[in-house]
Amino acid sequence: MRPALVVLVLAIARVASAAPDPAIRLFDLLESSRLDEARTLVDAERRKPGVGPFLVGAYDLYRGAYAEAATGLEEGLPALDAKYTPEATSLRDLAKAVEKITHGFTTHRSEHFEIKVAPGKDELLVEPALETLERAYVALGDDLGERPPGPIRVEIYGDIADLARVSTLTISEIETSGTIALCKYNRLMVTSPRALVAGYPWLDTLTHELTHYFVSRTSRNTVPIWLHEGIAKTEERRWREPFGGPLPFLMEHMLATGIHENHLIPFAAMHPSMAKLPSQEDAGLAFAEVTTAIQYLTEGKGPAPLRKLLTSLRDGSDLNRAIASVTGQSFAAFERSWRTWLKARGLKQHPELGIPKLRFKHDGKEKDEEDDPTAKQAHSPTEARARGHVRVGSMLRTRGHLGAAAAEYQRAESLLGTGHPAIAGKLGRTWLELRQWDRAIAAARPGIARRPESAGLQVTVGRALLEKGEPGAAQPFLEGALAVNPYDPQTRCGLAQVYRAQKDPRLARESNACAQLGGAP
Amino acid sequence: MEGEPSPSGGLPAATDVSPAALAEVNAIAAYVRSGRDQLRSRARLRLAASAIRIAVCAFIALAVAAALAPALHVRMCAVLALLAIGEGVLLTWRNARRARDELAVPVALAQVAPGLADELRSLLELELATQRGHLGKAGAFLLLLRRRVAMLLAEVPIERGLPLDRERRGFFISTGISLVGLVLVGLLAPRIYGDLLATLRHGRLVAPTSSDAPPIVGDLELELRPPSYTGLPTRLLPAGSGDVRVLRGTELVIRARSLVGAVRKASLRVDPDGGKSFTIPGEVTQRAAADVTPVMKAQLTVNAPSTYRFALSRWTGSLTEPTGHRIELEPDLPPRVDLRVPAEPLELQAPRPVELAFEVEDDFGVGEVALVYHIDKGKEQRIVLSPERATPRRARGRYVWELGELERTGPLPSGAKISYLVEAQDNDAVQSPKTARSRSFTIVVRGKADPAAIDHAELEALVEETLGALAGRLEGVPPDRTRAALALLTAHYGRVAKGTSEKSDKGATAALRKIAAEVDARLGPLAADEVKGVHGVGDKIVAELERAVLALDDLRGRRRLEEMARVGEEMKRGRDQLKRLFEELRTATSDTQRAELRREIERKLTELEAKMAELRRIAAQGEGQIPDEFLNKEALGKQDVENGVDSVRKMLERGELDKAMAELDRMSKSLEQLTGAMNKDLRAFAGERNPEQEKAMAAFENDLADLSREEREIEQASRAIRDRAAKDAEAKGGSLKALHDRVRGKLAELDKRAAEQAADGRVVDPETLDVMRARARGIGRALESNDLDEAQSMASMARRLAGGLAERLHETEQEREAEAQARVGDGPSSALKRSGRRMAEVESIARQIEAELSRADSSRTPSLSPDEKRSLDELAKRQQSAAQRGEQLARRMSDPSSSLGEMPQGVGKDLDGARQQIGESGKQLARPAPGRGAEAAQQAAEKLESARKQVASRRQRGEQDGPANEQRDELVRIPGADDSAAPRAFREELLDAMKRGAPHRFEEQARKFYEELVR
Repeated sequence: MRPALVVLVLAIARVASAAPDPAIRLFDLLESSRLDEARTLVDAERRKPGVGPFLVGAYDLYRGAYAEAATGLEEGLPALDAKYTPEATSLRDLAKAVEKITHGFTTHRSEHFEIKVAPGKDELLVEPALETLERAYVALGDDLGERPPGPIRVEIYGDIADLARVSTLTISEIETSGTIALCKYNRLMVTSPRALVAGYPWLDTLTHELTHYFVSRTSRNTVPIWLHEGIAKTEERRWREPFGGPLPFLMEHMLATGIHENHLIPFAAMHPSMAKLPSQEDAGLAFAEVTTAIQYLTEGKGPAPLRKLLTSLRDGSDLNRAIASVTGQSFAAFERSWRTWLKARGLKQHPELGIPKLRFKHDGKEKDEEDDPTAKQAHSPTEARARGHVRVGSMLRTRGHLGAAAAEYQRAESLLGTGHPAIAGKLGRTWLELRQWDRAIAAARPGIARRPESAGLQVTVGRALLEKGEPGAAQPFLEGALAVNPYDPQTRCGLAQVYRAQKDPRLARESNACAQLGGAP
Repeated sequence: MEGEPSPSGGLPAATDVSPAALAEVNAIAAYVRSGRDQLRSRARLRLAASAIRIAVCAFIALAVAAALAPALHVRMCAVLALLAIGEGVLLTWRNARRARDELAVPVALAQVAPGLADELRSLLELELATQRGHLGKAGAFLLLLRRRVAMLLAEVPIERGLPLDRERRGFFISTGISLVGLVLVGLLAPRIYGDLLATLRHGRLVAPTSSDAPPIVGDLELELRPPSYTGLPTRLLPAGSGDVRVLRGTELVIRARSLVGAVRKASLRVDPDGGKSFTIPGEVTQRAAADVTPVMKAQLTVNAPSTYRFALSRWTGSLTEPTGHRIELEPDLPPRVDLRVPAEPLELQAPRPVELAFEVEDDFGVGEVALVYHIDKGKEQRIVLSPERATPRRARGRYVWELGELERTGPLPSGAKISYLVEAQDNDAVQSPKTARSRSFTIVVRGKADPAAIDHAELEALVEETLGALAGRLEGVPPDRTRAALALLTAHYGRVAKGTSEKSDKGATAALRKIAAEVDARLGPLAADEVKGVHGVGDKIVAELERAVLALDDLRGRRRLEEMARVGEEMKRGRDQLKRLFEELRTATSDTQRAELRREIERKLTELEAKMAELRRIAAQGEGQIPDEFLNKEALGKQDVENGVDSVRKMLERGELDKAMAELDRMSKSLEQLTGAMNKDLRAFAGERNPEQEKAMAAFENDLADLSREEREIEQASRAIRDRAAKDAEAKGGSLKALHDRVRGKLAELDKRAAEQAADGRVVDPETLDVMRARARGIGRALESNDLDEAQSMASMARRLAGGLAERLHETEQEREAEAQARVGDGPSSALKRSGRRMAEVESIARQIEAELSRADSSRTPSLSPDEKRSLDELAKRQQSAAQRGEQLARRMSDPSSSLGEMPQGVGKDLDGARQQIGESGKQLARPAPGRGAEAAQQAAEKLESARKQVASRRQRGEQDGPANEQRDELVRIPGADDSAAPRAFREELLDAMKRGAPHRFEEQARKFYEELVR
């Protein structure tokens, strides 16, 4: 709960001096997404004078009735002490902002979810999103031990400015930390991948936020932020893979660098939000840390310790006791032992990966292209030479000298090795343009392991396999690309081809998307 | 016998024509004729007597009138003349009428011979009646009557019948009486005829000019009330000749004592040179009951050089001064205008702020001061300046001329010549203000060559050709074709290196030529080897082509970033101009002004939008040329200048000026971030692509910063020692407080004397005296604040000022004495002598104070403790070390093998200056003179910091063609202007100016002023 809200709750509790508990309890229930329980309380409060209307308004905000929420909060304002007016006013303004932004959104429902999205291109996200969320719902329910009643509300916003308006974050915080989705006010709030130059792993992000929803509800919002994020990060791939996957290269690199530079973010510094960390790099490192903390916690045991931990916290244990109930150690000892374990893992740096930053479209870059790793500082003369070859290769490629460009990229590859992020995508695409399918696959495929979030590499491999007549092999790559950049016609049209070949019922969806994006299946 | 009346004499002709009758007729006719002649003579005598009488009476009347009513004399003359003429005409007419009367003779005869008169009258009447036919047959009677008359005529000759004696007597009596009257009047009023004659001669009352004539007024006292704009006080010139030299517009009050006793009226006759004379009525007052000589007073405003005379009216007549008094005009000179500029002519690559310093002096007051300029042959424009006005007579100031403002309506053409000067007016409110201009100076805006534009065609051509050659080799094009392409390419590089390429009429920048030369030098031999069939040369050629492409691409990227940085700076300038316009709009007073400012703001807003679009265009063009890392699209993307401009526009339309300014501020911050980001990009790019030079420059910048820091530390340490020493001295009793006590009495005495001198306003220059007193008071203040240096300066200044005043008074006194010896003057007045003595005393006291302070200073210097001396020695050694570091920096700059590249010229200049100051500081610290050592160290630090900033700027903006890398917002300073503005130096400058006295062109005026004062 953000500090302002805490102050507000206390204020309301003080005003409603005859019955302070219901107000506090109401906000606890709202924050832990237990609206079914909150409803009883609100019905009781509704008839009371004083803060009643304000509490009803707050409840309406959490249940997604924004217009009613705005009115109720407005009416309830005068009953509050004047010194709490700023916080209460900001809650009212928030309700108004959400109402304004979501006005005209279309609503799409599945068994457990309800997605609101702006009509138009963003509607192309709905079906893949619902499919992913339903899969994740099942997996998370298994892992965390509780399946919340639906429908769980999801809102997808067109840009980060809208996200800032409906959340407690500023645009600056969003840009700095790379936070593009939130689970708050009993709903998942996600920015459309359309707002980013090259998209982002938006399906993982949806699952990540859904995990927060599950954790908040299961633990009754008693989980500290590091643990919240650790569980969410661990579970975010559960819609597509089993629990406890390997540590991604990038996280390994960030952790190895952090250990090397003796710069790890303490868990306490992650409070109150990862989005409040000073940079995307710090946020990335923090996520890597908490992911490994959960790995450490669940190593060899599956998700059971998580369930135990959440239950313990829900039942009122403090963090020390909760951690002790799982690990037998105090929290401090756990953190120390986790650090020791982490350092002993022999993590490797992968400087060639760099730290990918989310690039928002208003940064000025509109074209859908990946970061140019050649621009990064060279770490060695060899790398500097390789960068020179990549630059020359790119210049040749833009002038149609594809063979010469490929030769330059190969020179770079020979210096830095296969799959280097600076080269793999460019060389793969050049081979693709030269219709050298195998060479394209050979160049791009090794890069995917290092940069799984690169839709470009996935599409290159997927397209090459399709061209080779292997739609089955192409499917995971194209679906991987869809999970990052659903607006690339190559991806959607490629998937349409795949589903047609496999007679998959999702063919219509992808054919429609392909047509809408101007592609030719 | 009947006779007919004679045809002659009017007699009827006799019918009897006998000889006898005829003789009778003739005799009667002759008698009548003679009678008529006699009557005419009588009339003439009476007329003459009347004329004499009238003339004499008129003459006397005129004389009396001229004496009593001078203003009426001309009209009086005319009236009298008319009366005289009228009487003459009347008499003449009456006589003529009488002469024509047929019966006049018998009528006149009646008194002497009544019988004859009756008979003659009867005869004449009968003859007339006969002629008219009334009588019929009366001829016989007529003959008889005629005979009888003829007989009677013989008895009474005409002389007896009509004698002239009575008329003659009357004539003589009348003439005699008139003459007697004339004489009597002349005896009673001796001047009356002279005045009248003069009046008649000159048409006005003018006394005969004769130097020998006795004066009629004396003790002339003049009160001068100068025009208010001069700020000069009213002055009294007592007991002088009445000659005076005044400013135009001065009100002159003239008082004089009558030397001719009682005066009924007085007036002032003023004769302007070449103008129409006029008279001013004066006042006459009796001074005291016992004093019979009255005092006359008249007042006039002087507008031209003139002569004035008093005219006194007495009951006995009027008197006018025989000799006039001169009023000469003192000229109010136009101001003197000095303008100091950074250079002449000043050549700039782009409009930049230019520092101007100006000084205006006028003899009475400086009015409006304006910067006047015109671009090429354009219309003259004016910018009114706001100088500091230490005194009304002096204005000085510095003005930072934003030349960028001249581009409000569009960019200045390359080679634009701006001629400028400072124009000043004085405050002459009597005539129109006089205008003076400084010397005219010139700024030439050469127009900065845009390296991107120069290189564009050649650079692109080389990139494309090189890539083509490379692609051919990598893609397996046949060797003969690749060799031919390489030969062409090498030749192209050669031409660009030599500057003889025909690809572009703009040529290539030095940077591109350098790259081309290097590529040509490497690729040429390889191409030759390939022709010769040397093994393995193909790979080398490919590597060389890759290298060439990268070098060219780097330059291309750099050009884009430079261009973006330039546009960013222009936007910042536009923003600054907008801010100024908003301020002006806020304070605008008229609707016209507001409307004009709004139009100007709209123009600037549009310009800002256009610049933002240009920036985006350059950034878009740079895609692919500049890696994203160095093209801060993030900053560019966050720019919402267009929205900001829209908001400002709307707010302005709604009249929400404050909100519009707040929005402008927000945009301003955003722009600062953008330009900062772009400069950072450029630096990062330079570091990445030219690491050696960037490294060398970064090291040079750091070393400059270190040395500057070192100088600051030395300065602070030296100052601390100086302050501590002063406190120690105070604590030991040798404090300045004691010194202050010692000189307090002298200071009081000095002030008292100076106050007396000031009270004697006629004999001293009050302004200089005021300055001298202020300096003297400053001694006390400086001592109170323990600043002996300051106190000494003040004392020295007070002494010199007092000395100057005393010397001038002494010189005037000597001149007066010389005049007296030459019998042209009365010698120096006692007041003058008193004043001179007093001023000499003031100077003497000031000298004593100065000496006392000097003694205190010489006894104070050794009060440094041994520790302090040691510290100063240490600091002096640190300065020696700093001097060596400075020398090393200078060597690095001039070393051609260093990677620094070409540095802005100002860096070397500042570094040299800093080295000089470091040396000076070291010397002073070794003396030991901590204060002066600190000052020199401070100046060294400032110069080093200036050099560092230039290096930093060079790093940010990169290498650009041309001798210096000018920044559009960097101020073009006046060389040495800062040095002269240092407090101590300024004081000394002021002191010297005081010592020099009045400016040369005002010397004469000053001298005259003093003369007037002591006259």
